[in-house]
Amino acid sequence: MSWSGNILRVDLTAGTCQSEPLRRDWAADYLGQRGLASKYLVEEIDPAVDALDPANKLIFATGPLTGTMSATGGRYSVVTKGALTGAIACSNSGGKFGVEFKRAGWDMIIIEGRSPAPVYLLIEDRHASLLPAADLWGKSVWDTEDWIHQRHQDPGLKIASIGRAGECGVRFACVINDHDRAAGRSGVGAVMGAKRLKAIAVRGTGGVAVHDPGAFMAAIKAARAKLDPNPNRKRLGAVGTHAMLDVINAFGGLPTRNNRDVVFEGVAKINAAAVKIPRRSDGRPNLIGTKACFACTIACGRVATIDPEHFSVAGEARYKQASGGLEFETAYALGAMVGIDDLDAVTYANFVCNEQGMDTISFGATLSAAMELYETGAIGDPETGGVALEFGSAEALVTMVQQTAKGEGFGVDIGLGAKRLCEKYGHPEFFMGVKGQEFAGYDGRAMPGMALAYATSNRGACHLRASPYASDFATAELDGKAGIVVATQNNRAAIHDSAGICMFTTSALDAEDIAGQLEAACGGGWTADRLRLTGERIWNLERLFNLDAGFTAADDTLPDRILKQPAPQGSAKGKTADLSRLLPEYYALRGWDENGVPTAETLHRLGLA
Amino acid sequence: MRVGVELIAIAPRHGRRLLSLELDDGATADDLLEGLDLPDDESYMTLVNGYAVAPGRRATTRLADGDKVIVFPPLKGG
Repeated sequence: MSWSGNILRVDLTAGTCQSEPLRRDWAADYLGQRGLASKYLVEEIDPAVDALDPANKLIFATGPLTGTMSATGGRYSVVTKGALTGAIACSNSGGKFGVEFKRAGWDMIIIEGRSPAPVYLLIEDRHASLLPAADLWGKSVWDTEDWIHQRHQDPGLKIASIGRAGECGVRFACVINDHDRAAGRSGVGAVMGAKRLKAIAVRGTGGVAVHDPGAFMAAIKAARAKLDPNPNRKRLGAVGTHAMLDVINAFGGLPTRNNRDVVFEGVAKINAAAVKIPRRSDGRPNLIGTKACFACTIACGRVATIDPEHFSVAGEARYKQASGGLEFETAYALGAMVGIDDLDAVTYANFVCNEQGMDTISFGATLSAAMELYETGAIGDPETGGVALEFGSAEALVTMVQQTAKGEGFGVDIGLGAKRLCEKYGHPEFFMGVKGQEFAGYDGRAMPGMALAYATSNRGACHLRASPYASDFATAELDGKAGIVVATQNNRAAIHDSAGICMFTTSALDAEDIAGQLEAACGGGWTADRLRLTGERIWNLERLFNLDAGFTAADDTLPDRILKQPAPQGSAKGKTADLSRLLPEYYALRGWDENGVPTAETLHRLGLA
Repeated sequence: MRVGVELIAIAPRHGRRLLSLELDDGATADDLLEGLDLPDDESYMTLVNGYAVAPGRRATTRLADGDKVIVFPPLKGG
């Protein structure tokens, strides 16, 4: 139990929705969510297919603990071949949407083909249908949710949709659910847009059954006893992820102005303290509240408002409403990375990214690359339509976020993502990322473990695929870092991306805790060791997909700026990132050959041969 | 000797606090942390004059007059 046992397969080309049984043998080996959906994707598509081709598939997947009483058990993932990267993509989101489709009786929704005209998918428990979306195409996420709620006279429908960014092929378009929760990275929203699927609306009135209710209640009660008093849980509730901004800036690892600097002088104007300062105009602070996803006892979500007198919202009443506030990565990407310390402009850009479905990290980092192109003269006013793309310009941020989201002006080029943009204008060295995906808010020169995690992440540069933070903050010495990256990559793959719970439980709950919950929920002999092995299997499965898609060991690297240009400030001042020792260690620990290919012995051990 | 201390993201306020502390000559980074009376339910990371000092080396890291020490918990990204 805990898996519903049902998969909804939607063929957009044929216009059909069919139910099929879950492959329980695959669930036993790949658990759920990221792992299980990746198995289906690998089995069903050609890795060489163009991400925007109808032959690519888009899978919405829950985990066994999604929809249960497990703390933070509200997660789902979107798995596909990424439009930004061409690598396997898995973007994880919270809110309530994933829970709703699990309660409707589905473990996964597999979307295939391309609709001849825009449609949305309506799921009411076990009944699913495709409905015309002609009236929705061109609408933002926020308007789409309102329209569907009114059309079906059901405010309880939970909705995941794309905004205009996904429609017009922005390479880093994301899927947004519940107004401002994002399956954010790698361009999963662009794949959805290419399929002409505007939204999925779900009403689920069932429950989620568990294998041993008594044991499950005992397991989640024990987990709560560890999670509730945990200081990191309390901190995330109090200040969200935003607390990291001061830490990483003090450490000297905050990517600033396209990684040319690693300390941002304006950080005090956009940090967790700044959002609490009352404004002169209306006496309110930027941060007005917090919120939580389904079953979450952490509540890291922020609720914010923009100064009603700020230039960005002049004549735009919709942005004077409260909406999702800043978290760390967004403050990095829309603030430090573009050199902007205007809190309201950063908040405005965040609102628009949510409203139109764009990944804030990739948008900010791509705008940053464009600003460097502009500064060096590689592009000028003829290309930008007269918009002065200068580092630090709040006006440029506010203008370009709208243009990018709507596919207008120079926003079309920003929508390519930083790699394609920089190649187009003859400066590929300005791309700050890996495998086509832009860096998160940590500079690899200051954090050697993160440098390796970026280089080896299966979905391109990512801060969520491994957890080298404590090690990197403690020491720059390389001993043990490859092992930490391997172990935490496996844990995150199997536990936090495949079980249905949030990664923010990691400070309190270990693999044994989660295995206990899974065994009580599902039965079948789940142990911590089996979870770790499952994580390793998932990681290698993703690696095999990427190798078949054309990636090689040469892609497990970092930009020259990180490898060859010393950090100008901070704890790593004068140092560069060095993969020459870590990468071979990593390959050896993984059981891969010198070309980064899993050996026959490794594949056999993992059941992948 | 006098050292400057910056506390970041530490309970109960979770914000930034700047302190100026008088320490005995020869005091180590460990001595400083013990004197700060921080919540004991988590570990802490330290930067001395901008450079990371691993927890295992604090006991032998002697501070000097005018040093700047930053203390923060080991946050994880997200």
